[in-house]
Amino acid sequence: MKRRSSELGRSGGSVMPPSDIELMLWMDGELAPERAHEVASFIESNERARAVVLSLRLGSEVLASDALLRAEPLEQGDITDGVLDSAEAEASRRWMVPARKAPAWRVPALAAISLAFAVAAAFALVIRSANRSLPAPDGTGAVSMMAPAVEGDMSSSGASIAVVDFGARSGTVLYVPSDGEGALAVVWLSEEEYSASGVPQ
Amino acid sequence: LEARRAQAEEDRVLIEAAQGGDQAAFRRLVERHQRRAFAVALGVVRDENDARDLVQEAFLRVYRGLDRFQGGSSFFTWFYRIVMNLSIDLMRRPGRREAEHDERRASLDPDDAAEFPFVSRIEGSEPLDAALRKQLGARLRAELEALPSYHRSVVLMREVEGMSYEEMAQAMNVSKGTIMSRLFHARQKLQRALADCYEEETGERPRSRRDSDE
Repeated sequence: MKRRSSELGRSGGSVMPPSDIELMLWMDGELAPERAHEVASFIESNERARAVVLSLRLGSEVLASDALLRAEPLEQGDITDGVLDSAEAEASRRWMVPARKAPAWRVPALAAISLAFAVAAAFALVIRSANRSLPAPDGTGAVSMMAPAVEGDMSSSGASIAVVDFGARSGTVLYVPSDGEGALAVVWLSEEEYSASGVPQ
Repeated sequence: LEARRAQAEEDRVLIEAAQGGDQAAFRRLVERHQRRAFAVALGVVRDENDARDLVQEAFLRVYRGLDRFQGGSSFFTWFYRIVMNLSIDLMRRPGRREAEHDERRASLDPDDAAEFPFVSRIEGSEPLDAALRKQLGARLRAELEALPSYHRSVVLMREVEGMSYEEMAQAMNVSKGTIMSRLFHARQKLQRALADCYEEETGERPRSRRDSDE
């Protein structure tokens, strides 16, 4: 900050003359107490500093009174009534609608999640109905699976047959060798169900 | 400063009562602050209806946020932060945007300070008569309206509400240094208007720093 040499000369002692910003800060009560004391002493002895502060004060006073004068048309109840009416309306809405409505930003997210669920459900229904519409072979149901190699049977003829009782149904398992690493097991289940006494129903 | 502390304490008591559901306390809080808040908002947005709506919305937000308010911070800071945010939103609306000055140009410049105008003859002169005061008010208002909104805001919060630099910094979400810089430059411009007006009215040119150097 520039300072005039005449000011520095007049200041006397070791007190640093205040800059215009410091004068403003002093007037606004924003200077540190120690410096504020020094500036106050300087203002007392310096005509220009006093003039700066006085004119700043005058500007502040005139501006404040003018701003408040312009606010005169505002009637006492103008804003107060508006605010309290709105506040009461909000409070009564809270009583009437206990569950708060979802904020606007959540609406698209909820819609997207709902759509995803709907698509997933539709897809599951399509898969399920497609499985049901597959033609089942008459009389038998066939299941194939890879079974570990059975050394005895597989080494000789390459295939073996086993009849298995699955409880309510009987079935046949046919092991067919597959590339020497394992056996392809083909299972036939009979369509006939047996009663507890073993008689086909 | 003491008066301000007392006012802050009264606000705190009213807010606590309002937090407990006392509608009359909230009404009192609004009544205490509405006029000055309206004066500040009017100076910033320069439209009476906008200023009224803005202040009403700010108080309503205070009401909605009562539960969240903690006594540690100042009501002024909280309230004027809302007012300033609403003002900025309003000014950004299409058709409302004003030509903002370049903040960099408004940074502190020592040469500007060297030309700080003032009215030295005020000291010891007769108190300003009503006509001159009115004239000064009109001149200052015109000069104020020519300032960018962030300068107007800081001047009005300071002069009308008497807010501290720290409170204004929090309300405007800037540093104290920025507040000081804005206030200094705004006041410089207002002082020029004051000096011009003084000269016109009295026929005397106010002495400036240069004059006193001669």
